[in-house]
Amino acid sequence: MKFSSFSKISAAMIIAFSLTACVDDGDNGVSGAVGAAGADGVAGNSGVSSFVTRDDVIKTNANIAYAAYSDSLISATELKVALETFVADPTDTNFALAKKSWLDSREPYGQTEVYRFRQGPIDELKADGTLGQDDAGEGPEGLINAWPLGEAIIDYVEPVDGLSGPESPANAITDNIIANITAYPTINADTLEGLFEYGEDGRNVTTGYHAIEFLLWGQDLNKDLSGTGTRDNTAGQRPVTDYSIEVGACTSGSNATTDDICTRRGQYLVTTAQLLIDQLKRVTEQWEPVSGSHYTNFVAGGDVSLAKILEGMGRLSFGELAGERINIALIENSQEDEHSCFSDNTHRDIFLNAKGVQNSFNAKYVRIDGEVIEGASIYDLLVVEEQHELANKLRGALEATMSAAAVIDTKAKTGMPFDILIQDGIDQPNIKAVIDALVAQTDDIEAVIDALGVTTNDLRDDTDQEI
Amino acid sequence: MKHFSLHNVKSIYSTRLLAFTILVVLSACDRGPNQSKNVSSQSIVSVVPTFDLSEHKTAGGITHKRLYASYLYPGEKLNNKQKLNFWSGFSFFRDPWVAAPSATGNRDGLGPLFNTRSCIACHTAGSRAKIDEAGHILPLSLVVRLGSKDSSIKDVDPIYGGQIQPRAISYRLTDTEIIEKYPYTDNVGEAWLDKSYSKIEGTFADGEPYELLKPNYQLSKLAYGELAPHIGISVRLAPNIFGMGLLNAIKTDDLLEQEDSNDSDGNGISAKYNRVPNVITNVIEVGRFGFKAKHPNLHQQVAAAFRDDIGITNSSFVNESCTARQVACNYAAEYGGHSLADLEIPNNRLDLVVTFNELLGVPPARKLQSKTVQAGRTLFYQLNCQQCHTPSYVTDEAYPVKALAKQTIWPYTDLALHDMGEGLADGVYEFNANGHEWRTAPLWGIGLQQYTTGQQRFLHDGRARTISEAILWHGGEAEPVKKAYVALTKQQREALIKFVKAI
Repeated sequence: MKFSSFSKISAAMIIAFSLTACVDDGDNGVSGAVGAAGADGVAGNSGVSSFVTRDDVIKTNANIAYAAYSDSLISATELKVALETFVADPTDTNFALAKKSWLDSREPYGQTEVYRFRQGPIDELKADGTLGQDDAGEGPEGLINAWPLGEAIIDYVEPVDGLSGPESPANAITDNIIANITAYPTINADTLEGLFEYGEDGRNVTTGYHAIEFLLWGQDLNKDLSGTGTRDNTAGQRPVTDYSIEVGACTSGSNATTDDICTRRGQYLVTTAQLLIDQLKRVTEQWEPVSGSHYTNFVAGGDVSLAKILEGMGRLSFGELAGERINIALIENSQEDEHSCFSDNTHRDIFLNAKGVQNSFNAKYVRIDGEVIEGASIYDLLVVEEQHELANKLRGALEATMSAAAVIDTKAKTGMPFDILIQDGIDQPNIKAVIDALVAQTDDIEAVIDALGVTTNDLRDDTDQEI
Repeated sequence: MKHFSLHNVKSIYSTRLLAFTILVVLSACDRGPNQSKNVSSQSIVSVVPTFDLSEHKTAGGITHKRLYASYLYPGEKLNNKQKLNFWSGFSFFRDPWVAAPSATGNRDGLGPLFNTRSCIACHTAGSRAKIDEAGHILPLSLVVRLGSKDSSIKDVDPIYGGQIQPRAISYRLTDTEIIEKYPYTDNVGEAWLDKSYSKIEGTFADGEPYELLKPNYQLSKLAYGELAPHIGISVRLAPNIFGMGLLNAIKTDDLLEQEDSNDSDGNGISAKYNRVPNVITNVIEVGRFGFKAKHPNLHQQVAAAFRDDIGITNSSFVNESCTARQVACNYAAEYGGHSLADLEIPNNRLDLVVTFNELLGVPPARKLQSKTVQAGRTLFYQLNCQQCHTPSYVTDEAYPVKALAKQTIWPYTDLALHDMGEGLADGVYEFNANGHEWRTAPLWGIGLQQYTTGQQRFLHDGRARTISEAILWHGGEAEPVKKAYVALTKQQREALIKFVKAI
């Protein structure tokens, strides 16, 4: 969590204050809405208010969605300011601040990913503002967070391992946007938006967090920039001179370059940040309490919405995080299959995705300014619905995952990033522990779906109504 | 084994045959082996099997646990390791491939010629992507296959090969010596497609009119000159891909048991299996996958799609889809830096994608026991739809992936080729399949297309907008069944369609 602007004491005070507030409004179950005996004379159940309903849980989940997307939007706005400062004055200090700002922006976003895989705005918001499948079958997610991305289309890349070099340099045509002044004379939103669907493919994205990451860090080629041999703990080492505004000082890897390329690279950076803001804004507005159209529909959705919460949690835990984001990188021992491969920030992606699932279960989210958003949780609901054992089991499973993810996080912060961990082979115990924990929690999430009797569709309905 | 096999006494299901209800209905075919071929319109006997609870679980243990908003979920009974591999393979199914050289070496190698960049682009939600509109189009979800119209020349087009790839990675020849000998300097997409619809009007027996859209296709902007004279085009909409592992797991014998190429049983239906080469062993095998059953197994189908649709070479298809006469294409392939020894998708990753396909589950049946659906089910058998849409099998107990072995499945296909008449004919050969023949499409899960993709389209090129239209397009061997459908009352038609949508 990001408490960087707060002392531990003030953060602790905020949390303490929030807990106090909870007692007052009766959510902790010691007191009911109108006192210890509760409105109907029933006190809380195992420390949980007897009044927690399914709709309460759904509403809190929606409120947290708004908070987490808002935080993403706020931090992306801060990121853009940092990038503008850096581009205008490309010093080492401003470069470091720009990178720091990118890392900060990933903290809230990673926790929003639990809102994927549930037919929500992030996956299904169309250009006309309605939800559904667009022609490419996806919403803003790809434009915001696509990875791995074909960075070779954005800027120069170094041939790595001798695999990807052109056979004959004379034949090389420059396809990257920054270098190709003839095809793309101006780098602006129109150019990049036009390239969103480069080659009529909606998935060929050239924007989003990872485009910015690439433009800040560059390829992760090891300390010696060879891109070969055993991986070390360095991330990408794009030189600050790639953004130089001094005459004749602009660099572009091993390619000969001109000053305007650095200018264009800076323009790309700032333009992409603005596009990221635009997309995040669209999603955030959908979740705006009361006025957001998805918010309104979702909180009125009853069991279907509850099912979406749980199914999204399960899908992120298993398919996306355990499967695609961790297992693939592990079995392939492949750097490009790590989520944030340029900055070596993958440990945070893993931790924050898992955290998002836990947030959804506990109905608690700590905002980037330290404010705590919380309310009726799935845990509470399970207790109210007499599923004490399952409530506790899933709580434990989620905590086990977080502790396993914390190990990866700590290792990365102490000199062993994810790309080195996976290099130790498929039996790498720390990574496997996270996968196993995610798999176990998914089983419990499935059990909760069964116990609460919710799915997004009722198959057993014996009527002639069309699905 | 065929679920309803009369021969296999070991089948626990064959005991249920005793419970089959024998109904006498009006129907045009299934005359039975002892009846003369020219008896075509008399009362005949059709067997409607009693409802079997296993019909709910369309794909046995590979059925989805519940109804999802996408087909792209693994079967329920797979273990966690299999599910993990499923999702790992899914990432290669979903992620776009980029042109080589790139820093993302695991996902580069796109082209030089290609239809699209990712599998999911055409198989939205594991189903069929939005069909390309009529007009002058650079097709995306529609694939244009090239095949011989002439039974004596089986070769594909000498310039364009077996498929039109409308897109290309940019590459320009710079060597003047080559340019002098070769008329084209750029590696460019092969053609555009002109697509239009003409309307066909008809009427059901009860007087209700219907309208079908007959597509007309023509290639235009052919980038490398005209097609060879013997070449015809066959346009296809990307098919549903779920449940393919189970179709792969049906015993070949259980298919061949249904073969009746010369209609020796005289029922008007001549189930014929395509015989196609296994590209790894070079052995001729029974074709199962593709609209004309061009590939004998799932692995080959996936590998071919990688090469032909995305331009990703692999151990089964080692060469790019450039023909020798597409010089710039061949140079562009070299420029990409991938040699034969360095396939664009190595076996471990290809296998993951095949595993993903193999373990891809099938939605459970919906509302199968409602009265209307049950009435539709009865009609399905009374009309003899099951003659080609073989309802059920028990998969091979020796299938290497145990979770797929010995499963009772309900795909409703014989995987055989049938003459579907002039209306659907594309006029081109694919191995033993002629220009009128198409492989019976599986029916499981098709009723959910609207729900999962926001569109429902049926038949090989997606011309049918509803299941009713798809039935109305049936001709050739299926003509009598189609006629029987047209003769139904509106209520009966709706019931039949509800059944097809429920399975």
